[in-house]
Amino acid sequence: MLRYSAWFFAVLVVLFGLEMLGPVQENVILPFTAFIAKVCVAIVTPFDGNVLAYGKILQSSVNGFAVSIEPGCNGVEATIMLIAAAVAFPATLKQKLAVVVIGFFAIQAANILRIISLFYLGQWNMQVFEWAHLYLWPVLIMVDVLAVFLVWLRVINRPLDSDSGDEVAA
Amino acid sequence: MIKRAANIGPGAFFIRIIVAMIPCFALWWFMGDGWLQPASDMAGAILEWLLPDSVNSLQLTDGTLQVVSNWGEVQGRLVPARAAGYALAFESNVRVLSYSVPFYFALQTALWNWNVKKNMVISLLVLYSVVTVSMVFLCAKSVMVGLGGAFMEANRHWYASRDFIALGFQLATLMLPVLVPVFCWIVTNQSELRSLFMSMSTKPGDESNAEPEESE
Repeated sequence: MLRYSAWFFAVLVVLFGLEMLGPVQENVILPFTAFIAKVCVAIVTPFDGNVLAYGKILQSSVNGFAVSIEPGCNGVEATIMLIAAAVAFPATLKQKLAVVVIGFFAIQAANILRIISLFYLGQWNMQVFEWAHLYLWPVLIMVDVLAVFLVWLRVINRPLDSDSGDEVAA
Repeated sequence: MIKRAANIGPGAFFIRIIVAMIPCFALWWFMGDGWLQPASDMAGAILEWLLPDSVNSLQLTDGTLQVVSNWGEVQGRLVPARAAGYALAFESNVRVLSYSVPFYFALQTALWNWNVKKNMVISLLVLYSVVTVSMVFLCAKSVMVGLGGAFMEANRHWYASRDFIALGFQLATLMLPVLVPVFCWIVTNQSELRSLFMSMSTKPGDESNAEPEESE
């Protein structure tokens, strides 16, 4: 457990540091965030034609309410946590890749649900919006990460406190 | 009678986490922030020691941390507080850090394993320490952004650099409040989690996946 924890935090800090670099933000994070906004609009538009997206901003054309999807609201940090957990854990490269890919989509699905729900909650009640934005959704996204990781452990048939490095492939 | 998580299966367990969040977060919200006062005092002492030219004091009121600086403003220009006759203060929401505690309790409640009281106390100490350090970064960032150039001029130490404070702030607000409770919870409840997630996939003769001994 100790070795796993050390690896986990090392990978986490390195990936998080990389994410914070200016060129990475400019060339990867911001375009990805804008893409997420477009996906949200594509999902919402068939049900609500009054939604506009420009860059990372989602706006209602009816009342002008808008949400800006900032770095930190795009699910990247949650994905980084999952990657760090998968990289640190003794498993084959294929198993690690599988959990990262599946986890990425699970996190983004939850994150898109989060953005859309916040967009409508904000138009309804700002206090509820604040509560959901600041406290509720970060926890739900983390529970999503936890679910993916624990189910993965179950699928690959490895106990949590496994510390044998004999199968480490990456 | 509430069953332990090992007896209900993973699917029901995750639903139980969501359900457990309701009372834990309600209690946290209505309890107020009195329990964070020692953390706030400690964070204030650290800030005053590390950034003596910028931070005068730190106050906690109604979920808001207020950092009182040593600077004031006269005609749009930053001047020492004494010359201005008042001090600029910057506010931060401390609850974006402290919700890690009800989250930990929600996880623990969902698992319904109360045989690890000593580990729970250690986990709470870890969480409290992380909240305290996170408060330091949260307030340092508020002061840095609020004072801008004057902050950079007054604090030329490595720990007062823009990048260090920004990285610490991002870690403290984006990751630690959700990561540390989960980490503490996993470390605290290894055998219980093993029985919850491994029991149905145990291979005959595979000792590494054998049922754990009952921790009770």
